[in-house]
Amino acid sequence: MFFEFEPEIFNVFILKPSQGHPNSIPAAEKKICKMCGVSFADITKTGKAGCGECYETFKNELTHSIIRIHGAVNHTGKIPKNRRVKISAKRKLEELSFRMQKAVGEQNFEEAANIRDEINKIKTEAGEV
Amino acid sequence: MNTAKKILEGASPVLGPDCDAAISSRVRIARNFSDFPFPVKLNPEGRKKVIEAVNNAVKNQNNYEFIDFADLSPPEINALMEKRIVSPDFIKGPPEKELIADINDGLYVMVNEEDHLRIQSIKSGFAIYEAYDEANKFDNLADGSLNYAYDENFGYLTQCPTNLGTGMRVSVMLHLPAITLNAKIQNITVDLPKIGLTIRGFYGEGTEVGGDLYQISNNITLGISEEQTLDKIKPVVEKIIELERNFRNAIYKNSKDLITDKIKRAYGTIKNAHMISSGEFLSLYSMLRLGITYGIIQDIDYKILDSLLVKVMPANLSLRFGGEDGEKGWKAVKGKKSDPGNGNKDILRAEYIREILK
Repeated sequence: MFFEFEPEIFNVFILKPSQGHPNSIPAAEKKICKMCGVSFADITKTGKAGCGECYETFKNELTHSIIRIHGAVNHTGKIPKNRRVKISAKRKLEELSFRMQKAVGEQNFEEAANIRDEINKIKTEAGEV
Repeated sequence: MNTAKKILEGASPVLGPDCDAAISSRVRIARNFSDFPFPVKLNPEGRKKVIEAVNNAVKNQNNYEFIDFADLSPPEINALMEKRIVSPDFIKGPPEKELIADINDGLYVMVNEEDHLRIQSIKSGFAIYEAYDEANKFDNLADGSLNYAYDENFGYLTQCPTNLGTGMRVSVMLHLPAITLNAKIQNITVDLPKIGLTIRGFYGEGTEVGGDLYQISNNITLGISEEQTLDKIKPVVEKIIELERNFRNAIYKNSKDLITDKIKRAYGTIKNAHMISSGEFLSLYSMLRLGITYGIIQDIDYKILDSLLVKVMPANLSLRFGGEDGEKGWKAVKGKKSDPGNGNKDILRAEYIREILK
């Protein structure tokens, strides 16, 4: 092969099935993704999800592995068009809320009040987020 | 000339920024649509629908060319793989797949690879921001044709969880002969993973590593934005390029005659040898590239030399010597290890190199 096209992808989902009776099927493995029919056992075997819906269906089971790969589960990058307004507003509110708490902590009440006004403005503009 | 040949020929030669050490920059963005399972779980009908939806979204927007794989010969497909326009997985996958190309801007999109879309942008030299802008432009066009599979926490959803988040892989290919000569690559290999980056050797044919070529890319795609990823890679690559230049200067200062002799010998070999293996080619390539930087080699430029990297690979050689369909040449070039076929390949490689460097 001339060149390895992608970085070597390891099977990142090699997990220990949840503890229980040796013959019992762990609860997670009984679940099947409604969209593509993949089970959690399938995902652990191949290291790959079957569709976007799998990430919702097996969110709890997958979160640990995803943190292990990326060190995080909070996407901070680009947002698709149809979700942009809402998620951008939410991210902005989280940031402002953090800054407001900090201002209060520093007894900088004037700044805190300004930030609160800004928060209210965004909430009104974007609707409930 | 068909589109595959145009892609293999490449756009008009332009030298990119920092071309003395940076060969090329690539950005790849993975995307999937929420209404369909990922390609591997999708039936032929669904895969066709994905192609149709993408084509409708982008067809009137730019000078994109749409390449159906059924129209390409095996050597053409392999030649595209050697140029890293398509991946081995893409070639192996089911037949309902498409390559969308904008050759002048270096944009290539694989539809129905591991993910529904693999948007790739390739620029000359060290130009990661430009490469990202190009890929991002296509991403914006495709967004809205169908809804992207996306989760607020996991970001863009991809078949392999290593790509979750931005789905973006940025890579820069560097030529680092002086760092290699000073045995400092090991330090970089150890340090980069600590900040979420990787450096890998550029593999030649088989398993050999050669050409003093390395690729630096990001490991992590979740919890970091596109801009942050680019901003993280930029200073690291700049520092490595600076280090390489310092070592190059030191080598020239301390061993001028020795390095000049090595470079001139490489020049003599590549211009006159009757047989050149791919491994030997990579060694000669590295020496000559260094020779261009020092001004010792003046009748070959970076662009021509870099174009050889792909042109002397087996499938590209076969296209050159096998006529229009490449089949005849494919048989002549492929050969078996024990028969003269393999030697034949080295003869053809030497011949083709001489022809290009004439």
